Amino acid sequence: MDQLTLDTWSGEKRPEVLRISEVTAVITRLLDTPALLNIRVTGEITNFKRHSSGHLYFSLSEKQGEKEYTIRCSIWKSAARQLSWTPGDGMIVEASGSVSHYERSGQYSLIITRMWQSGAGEKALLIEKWRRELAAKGYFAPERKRQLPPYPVRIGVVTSETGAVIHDIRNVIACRFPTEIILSPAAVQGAGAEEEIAAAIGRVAPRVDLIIVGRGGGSYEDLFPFNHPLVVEAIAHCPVPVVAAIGHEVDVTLADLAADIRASTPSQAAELCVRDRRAEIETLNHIRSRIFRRLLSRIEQASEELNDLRERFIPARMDRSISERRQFLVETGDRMEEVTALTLSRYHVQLREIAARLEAKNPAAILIREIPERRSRIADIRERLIRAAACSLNERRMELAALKSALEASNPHIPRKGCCIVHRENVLIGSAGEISAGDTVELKFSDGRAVAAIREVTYHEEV
Amino acid sequence: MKKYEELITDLKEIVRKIEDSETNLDEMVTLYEQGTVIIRQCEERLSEAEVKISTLGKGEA
Repeated sequence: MDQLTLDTWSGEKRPEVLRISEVTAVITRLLDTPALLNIRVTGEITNFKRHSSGHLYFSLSEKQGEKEYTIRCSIWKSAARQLSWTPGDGMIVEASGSVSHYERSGQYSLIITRMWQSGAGEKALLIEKWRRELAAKGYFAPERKRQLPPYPVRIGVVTSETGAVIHDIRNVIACRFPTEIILSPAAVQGAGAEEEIAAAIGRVAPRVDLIIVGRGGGSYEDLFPFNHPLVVEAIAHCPVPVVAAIGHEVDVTLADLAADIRASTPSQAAELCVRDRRAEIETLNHIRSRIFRRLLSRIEQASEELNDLRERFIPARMDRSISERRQFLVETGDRMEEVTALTLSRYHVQLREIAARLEAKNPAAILIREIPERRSRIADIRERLIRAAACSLNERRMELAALKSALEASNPHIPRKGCCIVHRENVLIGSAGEISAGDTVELKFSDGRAVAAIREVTYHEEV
Repeated sequence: MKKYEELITDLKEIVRKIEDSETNLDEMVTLYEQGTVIIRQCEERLSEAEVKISTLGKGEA
């Protein structure tokens, strides 16, 4: 192309003035070369966008040291439908298609017809590795999250000096609750951005009550520094709370995860940092009326108390009150007496009953009452005894006399008339065999005795 | 000069005391006066507040 230009412009005559369409046609013709038709390329997807029409727009890029090469790419809706996977920033892919010049915008791009995934992108892998390492240090732990101060006096903002972020934040804060803002500028993309961001956070932290780290929307690559461990550590170690507002809602960087609060946009971050001045004034008005009402009701209460006291101090009322109390005292005294008398009389009755019951059980009284009866019963018994004894005695006497006469009749020692009892040497002789001739025996009669000598003894034959 | 946040803290304490049924009338009148003064200060602070923006130099420590 350079060669063409030089050839055209060489020579003495002034170059021909070409219309844009003519130049554009040349470019189109030059790009229409087999070297750029149906080619197969490999690269990393960046700046991926899915248009509402269904077409996909992105770049394929390659990095060689500090240098980066990029080609714009498009996949039309019909080809996009053939993809069985969802392309995204950071993916390393292979694609086939042709380079085409879009004359309306003067841009060329690779129109891709087929595309394959060749593994997760290097950057994505690197971020995943950092995420694991930093998570292990506890930087993303929910318990580390701090509350924002309710009324920050100074707010630090770490962002690009030239971007829209600082203006958005300034506008929101000016509108809601004017506060002092200290901008700590840093490059927010490109090589070395992570170091600048980390340093900017460290610089501003001692001067402010909280920090907003912000960056507008950008590609996966643009936001890449906000995944760097330097930035994450600067946020995690920041002595004041950090609000992160990096990229769009869908972009979540490691810096977002480490921040105390994540906002979807820088404006939202500013809203989260300061209260709304109008709401604050409303609250103050509310408090003013609240304490006024409270004071008023306290005064009303005090005045009611006073009225009550005043009324109670009226002398007539006090007299009435005293006479009422005196009457009450008298009545109470009377009732007490009544009750006492009643109780006493009841006890007397009971006492008498008990005494009577006791008296009834007294043994002396019982005895005295029963003596005459018992005496007469004794005399009666005695008489009956005497009579019975006398009767019995007579019977016995008669029995005895009968027995005596019977006995006397049969006594061996006292012989009946005409009979005698024979003894020899005081031994009773009952048989003729007991004596012999020549024995001297004593004869006992019923009215005297005699001594006799035996001349002869004869025995009855049958003996 | 007290910070706005300190004024709000003082005001909250005054409201708490005023709403406490133990507070007597004299104290309450005094607290009410203090409260209205603080509210006025807060309102002044809010109406006078202006956004100030300054930029740190990259070399500043």
